[in-house]
Formats: sequence, structure tokens, C-alpha cells
Amino acid sequence: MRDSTVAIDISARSAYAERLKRAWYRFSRSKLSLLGLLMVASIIFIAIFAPVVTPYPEHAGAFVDFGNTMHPPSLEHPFGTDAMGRDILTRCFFAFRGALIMGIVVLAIVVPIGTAVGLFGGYFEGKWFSTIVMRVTDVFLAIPPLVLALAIAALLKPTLTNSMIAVCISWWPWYARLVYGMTVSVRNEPFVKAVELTGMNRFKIMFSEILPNHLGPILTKMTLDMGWVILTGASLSFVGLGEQPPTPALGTMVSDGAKYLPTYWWISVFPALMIVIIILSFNLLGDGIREMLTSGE
Amino acid sequence: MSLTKYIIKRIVYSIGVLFGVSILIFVISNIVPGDPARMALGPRAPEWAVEDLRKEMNLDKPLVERYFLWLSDLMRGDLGESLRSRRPITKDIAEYLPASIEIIALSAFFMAVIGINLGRLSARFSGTWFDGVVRILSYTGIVTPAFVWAILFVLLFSYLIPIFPTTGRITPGLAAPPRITGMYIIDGLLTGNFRVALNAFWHIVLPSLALSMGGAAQAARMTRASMVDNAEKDYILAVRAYGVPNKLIYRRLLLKPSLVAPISIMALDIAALLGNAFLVELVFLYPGISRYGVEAMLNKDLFAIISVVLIIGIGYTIANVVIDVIIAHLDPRVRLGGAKSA
Repeated sequence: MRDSTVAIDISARSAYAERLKRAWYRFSRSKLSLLGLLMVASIIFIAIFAPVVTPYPEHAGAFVDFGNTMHPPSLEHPFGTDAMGRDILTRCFFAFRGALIMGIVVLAIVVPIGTAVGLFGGYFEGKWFSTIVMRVTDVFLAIPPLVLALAIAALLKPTLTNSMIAVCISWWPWYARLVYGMTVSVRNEPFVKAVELTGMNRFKIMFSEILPNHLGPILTKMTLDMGWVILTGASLSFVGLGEQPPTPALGTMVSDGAKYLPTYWWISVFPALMIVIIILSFNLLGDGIREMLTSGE
Repeated sequence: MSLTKYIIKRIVYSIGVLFGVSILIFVISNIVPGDPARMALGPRAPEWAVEDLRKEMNLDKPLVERYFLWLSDLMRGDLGESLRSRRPITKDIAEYLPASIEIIALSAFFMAVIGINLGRLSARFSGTWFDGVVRILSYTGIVTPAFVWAILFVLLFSYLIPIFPTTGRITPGLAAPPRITGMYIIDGLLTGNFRVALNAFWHIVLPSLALSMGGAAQAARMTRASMVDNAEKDYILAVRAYGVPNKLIYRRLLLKPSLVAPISIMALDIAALLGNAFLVELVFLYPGISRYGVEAMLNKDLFAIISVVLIIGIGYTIANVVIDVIIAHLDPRVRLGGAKSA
């Protein structure tokens, strides 16, 4: 008896390893997905080790060097220097930190809330409380997310935390709607009906029977959204409603630099390019994950 | 369900949603910490002035009562007074909104025309170099934010190759046309001031292009994907077997059913467009509603913020209804209740 359980155990584990291996194969088939993974990894690495990898870490704060203002890109300052004489490359790399924190914290809050709302609304579809919850979601969706985030950020004090709150309030409905749609479509499938007959707790049905089917699309959307949430954060700081100077934020750097166009173009162009690179990386990675999850079936 | 009945149902539902939106904005703007009257007047204002303003803004009354007071004013077309310009907000909006409508309409046009045509052509020539170029272009379009396009366009087409003006709505010194709609292009055309109309149009080309890039890219991608998909279907194979020329197949038979996906996604693109307008109008110093909104936000002008968000909510809801109607027209399954419209 004991032997056979061990055998099952091993085969289960190797089956898992096998699935992982196949998933990695499907993912790594596309050079673009690998590039995305590499770029995301580099961004995270740079953000964590910013004080080590940047040439002038002291420029990340309220540093002023009027002898070196507005230098064009050179070997010493690859992205040039700004109106305070600070190295723009250094400030961009330090800004990755706030950007990544923004993306991670917002998704960590928004995904569970949106998923729970969508599961609940979808599973009890047709009941009055589900209708109310989904109508409230519709109301949030009726305001373009960036506009809602801007308005909320404007009413609060401009800090990184408050801009995260603003983005969270405008972002959860998108997950609620995604999960709602998927839940409604599996809600009457035989496997759900079968566990219902066993008398299983409804919350357990929602979270352990229905939810696992949605994890793929949720994961894909999360990866893509990392880029979009970071962009929304950058948009808030572009308008002046995000993190305040001297802490570097990509949006603030772009809008400050825009004042010095066209002569001192590098002040806004390089931070803007960094925003594009961040979004591009997460998009490539997200597309790769989507490909991996859908192509093998 | 007939198309008319579908449209009526859709409009009634949207009105309900808009009521919800009015509650949402009002509640959010009223539960934030801090005293709006104090925020508006600044820390140095005397206590009595703050007290007067609180009374004027009905801040001394309970939340529910305040909402209904605000709503009844709203129904009479009174949005309150801007704390900054000290003018009725309706007047401010009447001045700034037409400018934004011009930009948004032109970008929606660019989005649909450029996007759908690029997608259509790359489907027809799929696998060729043209398809490859469009694919790279559309990926770039999607991942580059509108305000980055705005800055790049200003650098390239205003400074490096000075074709387009950098900022504003009309060349300084040129008189605005007499006000009929408030939209310079339309007013210029109506009153025969063609030079003014052309000048105003010239000013909005770059901002509109910047705003439409993302949506156009998305539309190109979706159009291509769904045309390539549909091209494999039996009815197209049948027509092809009859020897109908490729050009005709793509133009007459494949395009219409393949438009459902790109047009549905355009609802999201328009949401992005309305949000991005806040940044793009800032880059071009364009006197539109979004720039007015940004000023209101930076100055904590409470009623002006609420009004701008509400106006944008209304505009977006209308856009959604229009898109749904177009889709119902293109795809009868939607209005017959076979497929759920989102």
C-alpha cells in the first residue's frame, strides 16, 4: 500500500514538473516573450539596486549643482542633466522604485477586491444583491478611469500613497467585470452543479471550484496592467497630482522637461522613453503569458 | 427586439447609470478629509470668510440634503460657482467644452479611419512586409502613452520641421469667429471665415493625432485579427470558389462582420482618450475642458471638479450608447439578445 502511495506522489510531482516544463517551452518559443521577461527582470533589478547601479545616487534627492545644469547627453551623463544640474539617468532609475511600488501595491489591493466582487456577482447572478453590486460596478465604469483617478487624487493631498488610493478606486471595477463575465459563463456548467449537489459551502464553491478556472486570464491581465497602472501613476504626477519633488517620478520629470522644449529636449524625452519601456516590457511579458496559457490547450 | 426598442432600452439604462455617477462623484468629493471651503480659500483666509463660504456651499447641512440641493440645481442647469474664476461653472464649461469637442471628434475620426484602414489593408496583404510594418507600428502605438506622442509630435512637427503650431487654439492676432456653436472650425465655416476655420483646424491636428494613436493602433490590430479569422469561414471560401475577386471579397463581404470587434474595443479607447486629453491639452496649452479640469484640480475648486467629471461621464456614456447602437446595427445577434452586450 505504502509503495503505491509513494508512486502516486512521485508521478504527481513529476507531472507538475512536466507541466511547468511544457509551459516554459510554450513561453520561451517566442523571442519577444523572453525579451519581455528579461526587460521586466532588469527593471526590477535596477529599481532594487538603484543606489548601486546609478552613477550619481545623491542626485535622487534635493541635490543642486548649478555648475552642471542642462548638459546634453554625454558619456558622463548618458541622459543629460536637468535644470538643477542633476543626472537624469540616475533620477529615472530611482523613479522606477515608486513606479513599481505603485503597480504592485495597486494590483495587490485591486485584484482580490475586484475578483471577489465579480465572483459574488456572477455566482449569484439574477439575485437582487448581485444586481445591486454589478450596477454599482457599472457606475464606476461610466467614468474613464484616468479621469476618476485624477479627480480623487485632486481631492487628496498629492503623495504616492494617495495616488495609489486614487488609482485603486478607479481600477477594481475592471477586474470585477472580467471575473463576473467568466463566472456567469461557467456558473451553470455540470462541474459546478455537481459540487452544489454535494452541499458544499457556497463560498468554497466560488473560491475553490470556480476561481481556479479564471486564474489564467486574471494573471495575464495583471501582467499587462502593471504597465498601465504605472502609466496612470505617471499621468497623475505629470499633471502635478502625484508624488511631489524632490522624489523623482517619471511623470513629473516629463512635464518639467516639457517647459524646456525644444532646446533641452533630453530632460523630458528620456523619462518619457523610460515610461514607454516599462509599458512595453510588461506588455511583451503579458502577451507571452497569454500565449503560454492559451496555446497548449 | 427591434433596433429602436434596443436603443430606447439602452438610453433608459444609461440615464440610471448617470444618476449613479452623480451620487458617486458627490459622495467621493464630500467624504475626503479636510474642509473644502478652507482648502479653496487657503490657510491665511480669516475664519469668518471660511464660515461664509461653508454656508454658501451648503457645507453646514447633512450630506444627503446637500446632494439633493446640488441635484435640483443641476436639473435647472446650475452647477454652482467656480471658486477660482468666481463665475458660474456652466459659463466656464460653455466656453471650454466646444474646444475639447473639436479635438475629441477629430481624434475619434482619426482613430476609426486610420485604424480600420490599416487593419483592413494588413489583413488583405497579411504575411507581406506591409503587414509586418503595420504590426510593429501598432505595437508601438499601443505601448506609447498619448502625452509622449504629444511631446514627440511637438518636437518633430513644430520645432524640427515647423509645419504645425506648437500651442493654442488659433494664431494670436487672428480674431475668433462669431460664436454660434463655440467650435471655431464649425463657426468659421458657417460664417464664411474659411481662413479662421483652417487655422483652427491646423491647431488641432497634432493634439488629435497624439490622442488617437493608441486607439488607432488597437483598432488596426483588432480589424486585422478578425478579418483574418473571418476569411477562413465557409461562406468566404464558397464565394472565393465562385471566383469573386479578392478585392471585392475584402471590401464588400469581410469588412462589415469584422468591424464588430474593433468598434467594441473603441469604447475603451474613448475612455482612454478622454483621460489622456487632460495631459495632451496641457502639453499643447489648449484651452479645453480638460485643461480647465486640471486647473480646477490643482486649485481644489470643488464644484468645478465635480462638474468636469460629470460632463465627461455624460459624454462617455453617450459615446458608449452610440457604439452599442453601431454594434447592434452591424451584428443583429446583439439586439436580438443572443449575445450579451457589455
